[in-house]
Amino acid sequence: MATFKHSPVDIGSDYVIVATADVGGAAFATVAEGEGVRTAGANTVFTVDLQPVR
Amino acid sequence: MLRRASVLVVVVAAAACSPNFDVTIGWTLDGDDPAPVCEFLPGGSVVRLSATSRDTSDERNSPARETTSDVSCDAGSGSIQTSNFAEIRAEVVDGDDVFGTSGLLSVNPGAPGYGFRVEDEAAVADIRLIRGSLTANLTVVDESCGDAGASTFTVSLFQNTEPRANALVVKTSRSPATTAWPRSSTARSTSARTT
Repeated sequence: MATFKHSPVDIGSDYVIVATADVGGAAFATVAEGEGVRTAGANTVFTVDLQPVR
Repeated sequence: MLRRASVLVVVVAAAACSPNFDVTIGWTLDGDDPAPVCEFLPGGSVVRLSATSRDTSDERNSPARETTSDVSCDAGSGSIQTSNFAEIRAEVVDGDDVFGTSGLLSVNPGAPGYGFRVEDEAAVADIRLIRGSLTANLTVVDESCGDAGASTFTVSLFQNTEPRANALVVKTSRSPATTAWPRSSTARSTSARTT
């Protein structure tokens, strides 16, 4: 599993991750607006799933 | 004789002006035991105890002195030198980044009777976290990236600073074959790994 980690982030603030991946020449990406999360506590963990780019 | 008395007064005054009590302060993070929380904060995080202390409780006639003490975040308590009366604040810091801060604690170790406090009554600061870490587990069509055979990634992190406006925090790219993503010039602490 690939893990992206960043600090510091403001607790209670909204963040968005926009990601892309190349799998054997095929492109995968988050939805256009990205995956959003509101941070809470010392460490906010969430999953970002990339889908085929059509 | 008079000169000797003057010297004695100066020596006593100088001694009275220096911090001369080791005050133990405990802390919690958002009301919880700090150790499990500290492990999610950057590795260099410490709790910084800052004291503003005076020899008397009268702010008008008693100059303030500042002392600080850095203690490992997960220690749960630490000591700081103060004068007779002090206000102490506890903060979680990593370099210049402040992750949380407490309110002011008033202590008066030089006041009569203070030395009779039992250990259970040691002052405890509750540090309210205002910053933390964000961890995103990246999958490709619900499979781990390694299983999916992903060769390269790019990740951009934005903060929603106002309605319909996102500010770029960090943009980075890497190959899963490497163990760490390049550190961006805009990121103070960014990492990634693949298993």
